[in-house]
Amino acid sequence: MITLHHYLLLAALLFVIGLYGALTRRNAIGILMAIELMLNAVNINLVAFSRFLPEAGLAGQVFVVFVITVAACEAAVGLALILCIFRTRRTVEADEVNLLKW
Amino acid sequence: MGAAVFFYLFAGGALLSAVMVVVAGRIFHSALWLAFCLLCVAGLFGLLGADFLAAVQVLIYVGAVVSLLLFAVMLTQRWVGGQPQRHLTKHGVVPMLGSLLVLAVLSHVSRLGFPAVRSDAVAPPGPTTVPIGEQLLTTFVVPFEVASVLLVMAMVAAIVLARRDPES
Repeated sequence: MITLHHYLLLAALLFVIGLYGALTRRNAIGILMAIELMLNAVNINLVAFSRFLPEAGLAGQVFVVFVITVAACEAAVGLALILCIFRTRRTVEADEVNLLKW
Repeated sequence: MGAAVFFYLFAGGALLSAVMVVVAGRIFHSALWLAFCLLCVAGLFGLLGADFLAAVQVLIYVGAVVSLLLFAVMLTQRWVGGQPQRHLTKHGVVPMLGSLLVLAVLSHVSRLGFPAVRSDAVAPPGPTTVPIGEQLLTTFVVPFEVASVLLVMAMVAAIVLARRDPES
């Protein structure tokens, strides 16, 4: 039978996969995608807690609404920044954008 | 029993497609795998009784964020299909840290004090749209307003950043 622990473990695995992607991807859009994966792992945790610990009420689900809001903002601004970088540098590879690197 | 089958189906789909997002050769394929992964997470939300969040996940993530990502991919590829993605070479430490984190969760998840509630022991909460709306406008009204200001700021910032400079 499915318990809270199943969901916690699934969320941990998803988070680690996203972390791996965020740290090793060279394409800036790929990094953004990996960050979305990590945010989704957190959302799974929040919804699972609000489902299995009913005394907490629906606060977990309301938090997920806010997380999704911030994730949408982050995607919009992040992609606009990436387009800016591409326009001036003709690349979206994170390690080729080294103008400020000493 | 049926719920367990669906849980493993959605969880397996989410994990598999998450791995594909990270390792896929072309960034376009990554975006499509990400859409599949987010759909699986929406299915998990449905299993958890969060019907409103499942709909929001499909509408906002799969509908808006992934199509935004696809637009950005198509605008920044130098030729159709793009070049195969390369990863950073010195990243042996990342999988090591990751597996340590998973091991830590594995070994401690039953000792953290969270009760191992079975999903059939708690009644599903029923439709959540009305209670979430009520909470957003009563208990969480200040964060709700802050979030709307944040959305406006992000939209203005995205437009200003992505607009072509009229002088150039």
